[in-house]
Amino acid sequence: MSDKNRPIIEVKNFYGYYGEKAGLKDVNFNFLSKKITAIIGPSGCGKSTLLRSINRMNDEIPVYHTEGDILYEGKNVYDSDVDLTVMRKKVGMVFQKPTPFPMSIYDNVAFGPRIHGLRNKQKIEEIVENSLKQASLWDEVKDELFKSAYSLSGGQQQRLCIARALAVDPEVILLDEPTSALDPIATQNIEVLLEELSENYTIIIVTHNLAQAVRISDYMLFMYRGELIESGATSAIVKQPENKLTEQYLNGKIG
Amino acid sequence: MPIREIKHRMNSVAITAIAFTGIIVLILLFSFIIQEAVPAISEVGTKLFTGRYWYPTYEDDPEFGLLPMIVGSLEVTGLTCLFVLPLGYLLAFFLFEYARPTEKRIIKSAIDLLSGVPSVVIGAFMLIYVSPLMFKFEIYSPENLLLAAIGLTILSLPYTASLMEESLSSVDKSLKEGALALGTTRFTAGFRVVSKAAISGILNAVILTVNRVIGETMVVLMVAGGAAIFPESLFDPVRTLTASIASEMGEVAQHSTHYSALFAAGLILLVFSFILTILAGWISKKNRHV
Amino acid sequence: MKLKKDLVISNIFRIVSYFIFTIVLMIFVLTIGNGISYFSFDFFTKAPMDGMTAGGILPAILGSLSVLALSLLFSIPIGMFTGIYLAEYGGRSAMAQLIMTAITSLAGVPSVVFGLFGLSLFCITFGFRTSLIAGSLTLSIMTLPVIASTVNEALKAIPRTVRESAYALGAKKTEVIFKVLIPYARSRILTAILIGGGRVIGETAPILLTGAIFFSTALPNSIMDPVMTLPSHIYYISMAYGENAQWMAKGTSAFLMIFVLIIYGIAFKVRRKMNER
Repeated sequence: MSDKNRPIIEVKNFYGYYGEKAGLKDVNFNFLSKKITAIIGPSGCGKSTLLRSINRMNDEIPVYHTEGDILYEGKNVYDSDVDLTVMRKKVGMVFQKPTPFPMSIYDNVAFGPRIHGLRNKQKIEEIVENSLKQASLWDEVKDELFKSAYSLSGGQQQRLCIARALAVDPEVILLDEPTSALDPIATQNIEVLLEELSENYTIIIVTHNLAQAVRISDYMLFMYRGELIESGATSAIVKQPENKLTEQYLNGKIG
Repeated sequence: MPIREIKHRMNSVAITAIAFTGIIVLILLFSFIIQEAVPAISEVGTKLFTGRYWYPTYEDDPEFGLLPMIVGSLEVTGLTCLFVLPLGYLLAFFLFEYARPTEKRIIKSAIDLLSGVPSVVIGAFMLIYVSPLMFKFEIYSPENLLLAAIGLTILSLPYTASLMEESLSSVDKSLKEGALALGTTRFTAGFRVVSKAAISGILNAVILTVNRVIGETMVVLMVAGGAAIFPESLFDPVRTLTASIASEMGEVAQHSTHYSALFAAGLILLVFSFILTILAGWISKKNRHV
Repeated sequence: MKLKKDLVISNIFRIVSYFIFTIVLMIFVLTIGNGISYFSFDFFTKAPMDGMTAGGILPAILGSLSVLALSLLFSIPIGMFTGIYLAEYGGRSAMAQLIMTAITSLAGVPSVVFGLFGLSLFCITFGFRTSLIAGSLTLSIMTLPVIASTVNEALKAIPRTVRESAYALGAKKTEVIFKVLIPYARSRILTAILIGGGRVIGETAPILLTGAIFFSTALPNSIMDPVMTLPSHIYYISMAYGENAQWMAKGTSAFLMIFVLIIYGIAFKVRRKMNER
């Protein structure tokens, strides 16, 4: 069975509530393997909520509860026997503000493998180098691996966070507005990086930057007030949006 | 179960269990103090708190009236607050509103460093350098109420000033700017607007200062004079609850009435500070919206 | 005209503040200046002799350091775990509120009352009598609230996304706390420990009741022995000895003051560096 066009994350009749208020209403969508899918929409539409529901990051919010299923490789991530620490190795996340840990560049990337039990120094070195190379950061830091991660620029720190997420060998990478805190050049670097990474990883990115979504994504979801309004191939939606709201958003009339 | 999970669970249990130490300590504190104070209360009765004479070492007919010390504590605290609260506010206001950056840095550093000076060193300082001045002015008791108040003021000023300065600084800048934009003086902006907004923080600072001063031992022990009388002038010697405990505990027989009476003095202090702490917490909770 | 009012008031405030500053400076200068002249090799290596008219303060220095070390040994781990509980486990539960209230109440209790508590619990009930261990335990209870509340606030101040990044990599709660959060907050925690330490070394009343003795010749042999400490030494000399012994009080005051100033100086430097990050 071909690897491409295989649904890797299936969202079925999914509702997400913050207390009484519904942040997500009846969302249905299949994210395809090794493609870049962008989730777009105006502030408050639920795009971050959806993303954070996939790796259950919203568990940290006590008032959040859900209905419906999100399947990863066929298994519901909300099942009671799911080990979050294992699942999150496979589904990684990068946040809007770069969050380097208070340690060296090397230790930041090695953090994931180490806590999952890897002790072999050789193997760790390989993984660190490999991840930094994949994140297009290796050449810039290879001589200063043991300097503090805070010595890097904003764009470099964000690539470090991507390297860190890659180090645990995920299949899916979730990104929540990864470039909104960066300057245009750093943003471009990250966009190029994501396109390269989609050869090997499934990328799901939330962004309020419409142009960015159009630039890099294969598929798009447009959300509005908690509902999935329209979804499909990016080129198709941009050329001919089916829904009025989508059209308005694409033309800058709402949002 | 994998080791990683075991480690995690053990750590979590340890964290939760150890956190209980705080509550346990507080409960033990109250129970031990009360337990040791009870004998005196039952033997002497209410006269323990209302009696005007404290002669615990008389063999024939010892008297255990804590009132002079209670009054002493109140007077020392009152006089000190009279000095330190306005001074602390003034200093905080200056640092907040008028001080230039270099001035602010230098003065703040000095005040912060002062906060670390042990009370016994301040007490010794007062005793060695200031007390002799009393002789010059022909005051009969070189150790007295005024001296204690001055020493306590020096001791608590950093605490009071920094608490007040923090509350002023934590008020949203837009409030001050709004007032200035209306054409007020900086003083009015700071006094009538920012201070009002920071009132709960300032009140908090007042309560905490009172708590701190009434609980102070060494300065009063060394320079207040130690006579268990009712001070009538600033220059009378005075004795506080704290000083009595510290100075007499070394010489009492365990479990004697004297011993127990000193615990009763401690109980008064404990209850008083507890009430003040709860009061402070209640006030800051009420004003959370600021 | 309004400007004039500001000018007048600001200058009055300025003068008063400068006056306070001068007095503070004077206290430092007089105490250290007059005491330093008594520093000598003997001062730091010998025990007091001849009724405090000669010799040095070595036993008091050693005693103070022992008390400091022992009390931090207890208060740091307990304080940190309590702070961690409040920030990461308790949330808004009733238990957390209770612990928080207990901590805040303990922070306000007068030091001499802790002395009474230490006396009745450690010295008498546990049978430690006047000893290093009793004094240290008492002081560790006093420092516990400061460390606990600082750790609590420092952890709460860490941005949410740092925490979430660690969880997103598959870390368990305790791993996130000890491998990411605590290192992140280490400057603030260090400052609190230094300030706590400064207090321990300077506190007199509790140690008078539970651990101090006015004279001993050497290092305490065991933790069950009473100790001389710097602050209690100053107190005893000031109150019980005559003019000829005052030099020792001045010297000890100077030493204690310098020691505390250094600790606090380091603590504030750490805090300033942290604010710049």
